Amino acid sequence: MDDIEKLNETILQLRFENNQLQRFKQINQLLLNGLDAIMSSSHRSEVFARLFEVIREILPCDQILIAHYDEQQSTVIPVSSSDEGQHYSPLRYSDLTDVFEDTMNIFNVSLIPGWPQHLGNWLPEANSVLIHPVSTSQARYIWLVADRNIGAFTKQFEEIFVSFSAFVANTLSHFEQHRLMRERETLLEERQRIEKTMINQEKMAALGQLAAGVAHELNNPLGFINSNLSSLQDYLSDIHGFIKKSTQTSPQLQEEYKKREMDYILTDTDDLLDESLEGIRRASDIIANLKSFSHPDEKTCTKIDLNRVITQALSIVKTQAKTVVEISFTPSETAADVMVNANQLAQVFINIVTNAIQAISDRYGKISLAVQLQDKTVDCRITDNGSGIPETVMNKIFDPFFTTKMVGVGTGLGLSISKAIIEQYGGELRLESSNPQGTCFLVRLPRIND
Amino acid sequence: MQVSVNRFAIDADGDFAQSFPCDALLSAQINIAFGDVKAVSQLAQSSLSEQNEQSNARWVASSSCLGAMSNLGTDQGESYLHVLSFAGLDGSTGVASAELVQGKQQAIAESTLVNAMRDADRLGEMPSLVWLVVAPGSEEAVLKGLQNVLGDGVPIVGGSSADNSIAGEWLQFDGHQLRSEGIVIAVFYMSEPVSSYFSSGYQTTDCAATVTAVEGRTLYTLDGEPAGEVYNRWLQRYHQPPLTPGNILAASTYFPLGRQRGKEQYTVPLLAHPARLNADNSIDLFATIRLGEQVSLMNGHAENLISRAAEVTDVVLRTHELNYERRPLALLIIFCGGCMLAIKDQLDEIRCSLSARTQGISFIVGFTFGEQGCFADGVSRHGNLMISVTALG
Repeated sequence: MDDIEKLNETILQLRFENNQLQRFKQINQLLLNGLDAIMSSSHRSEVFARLFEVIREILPCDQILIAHYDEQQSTVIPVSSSDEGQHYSPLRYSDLTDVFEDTMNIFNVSLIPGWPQHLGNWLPEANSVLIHPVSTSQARYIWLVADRNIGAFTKQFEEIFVSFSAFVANTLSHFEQHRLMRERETLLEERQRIEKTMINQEKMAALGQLAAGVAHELNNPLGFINSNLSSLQDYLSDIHGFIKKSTQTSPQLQEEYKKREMDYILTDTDDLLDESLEGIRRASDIIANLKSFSHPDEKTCTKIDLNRVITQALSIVKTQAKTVVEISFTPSETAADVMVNANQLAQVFINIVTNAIQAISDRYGKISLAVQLQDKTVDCRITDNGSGIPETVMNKIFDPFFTTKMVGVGTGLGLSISKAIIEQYGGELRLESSNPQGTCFLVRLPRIND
Repeated sequence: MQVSVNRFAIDADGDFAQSFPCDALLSAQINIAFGDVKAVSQLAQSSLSEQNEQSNARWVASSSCLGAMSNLGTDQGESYLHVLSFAGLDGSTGVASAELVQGKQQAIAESTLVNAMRDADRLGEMPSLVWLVVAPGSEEAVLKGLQNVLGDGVPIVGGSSADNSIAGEWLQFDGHQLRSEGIVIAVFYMSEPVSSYFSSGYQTTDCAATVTAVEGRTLYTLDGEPAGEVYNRWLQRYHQPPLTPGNILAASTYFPLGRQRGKEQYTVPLLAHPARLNADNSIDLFATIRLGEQVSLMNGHAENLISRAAEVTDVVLRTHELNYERRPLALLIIFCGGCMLAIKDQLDEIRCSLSARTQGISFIVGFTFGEQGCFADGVSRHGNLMISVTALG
């Protein structure tokens, strides 16, 4: 009989100890579900909403509220509530310091001397309220768990909730720190990009100065070489007439003329002069381009419809395209007014379209231009079905003197000059996409609205 | 939190044999004391001293059957006052007391609890522990009053004051007022953890009957027959001699009456200790039994009574360490006075086994005529022949 008495007592003890272990099960379940809620939520309000569900599954209560303490304003305002749609007014923290400073398990709010009237507005039906402040690395919050029953929250409930809150605060702190690190990395990348752009701009400025200097220094010698060669060409024409008349009257001179192959020499001399003059013309073109690159702002700007500029540019460039490339243009429905120098801007479109024509020379090509009006900008996309720009050179195409064309075919200044011109007008020129099926450039200029 | 235990002897003239109070008592936030009637009475007299008047220490003292026990010793009829003092609590305590008036015990308990909370300056907040000292007779009403205010969310633990012979000489003291039919309530608000367990042994026998006439704590008939006759008939089945009218507290210790409490999953036997057999064959109990409820004869054994205090202490220490990863600093133990009377010769053995389990933790034991504590189902109840152990810190 006494063994049975002992056994009964042991069963009751085990039941009691099992109850105590249930508390750990509850805490573990809360932590597990809480972590899952945080991990699967992308926004703060979503995190809190999920946490409310988790808490209510384990710890029954009527209402849960999370208020944020704004230290600068010294106010407390609910940022999330299990009662969606309810409006809460901010409260002054100084009126609630005693209530919000530490964990407070209120079993009957009517017994609290001077229970803050405003808290009653937040929790109108509550008799029991568990208040617990938590701090994350970035913010301070106050949890308010409420129930209409008196004495709803046991000490065990309080202990479980405090443990859970500490875990949530800790986890949120980790996430906040992780987010801050990500933001810091983004800022560092942005800084590196800006530094790189600044270096590039400095490099461009230096190059511009060099180009201007070279252009100025070469211009004079090229001028007199051109002038001299032109005079020499005139002289040679006279020499050519004189020799012809002389040989007709003297058989001896005729003999000598044939012996020295003067026919060939004179013809070749003409060719040599023509080639030299062509070389001078190309050198002059390069110098003119260098001047445009270094001083793109030398010309005056007027308000003009971009559609007209593009139409003019295409009329010039279509002569190169002949029948192998189909060029289409879709202007904007209304005038796309921009403040530019029309000739300079036309040069930009001629450069881009010429590049496109050259890129699709091995197939039947299509180039389309389309102007679209945005609120504050005018966008023109130039799209071709060429072979695309190799990825390895994409970040160099706007560099001066960079070219993939054969020597003598391109100077490598077209895109860099075009970019300088567009940026001078406060716009941007960028490669929007490029792949083996084609390339798209975007020209964006500030729109002039009447 | 600092805890200390002091034991003060009372001499033949009824005075403290040594200097009283000591600094530990004066500087404490709260002192919990047990001693025999003489010791508690002397404590009340000394409280009028200038020294005590200047102290802010709160007191909850109760008389204990044949003295008390602590880690400093067992009284066994000699007069001592045992005081467990708490200082440096991370929180606050409050104490209030009142005289219990017949028919108003529940309301008085409610207002006294509110006053204790007000004394702690934490009115409306859930305490960690409610410690109760009450005169025997209306514990159920008192508990109901406390639960009306607090709900079941906090353990209410304590004991009914006792004397040496059920002569009604029991005393309660709150540091200012000495009462014999009173209630003293202490509320603890502290960050230090609290664990508590409340237990009794006893095996339910197949002797059972329905209460057919009862008034207050006097049981008149079971299944329509005089309660004394039924009870004696049940004892005979267990080879016990029939009881005669008079004090039957010790004789009935191993055969109390029991009724089931709690939900289906968590039923617990709640014991009622027969204290006196009256000439009209009615029985006075130390607990209230309701008309129409079924009672059973319960049976317990001395060996289990002797080992129970240490085993209950083990349970509390285990759960406290499991929940809070620390050993408590103090234990408040309530031991049924009736049980103690049945095994009083083994009290030193019990104290030694408690000391072996607690290994330096301060403890104090009061021997009471009714026990209040929190059962495994989380509800605090009044019972008899129970042991409660409450760990703090």
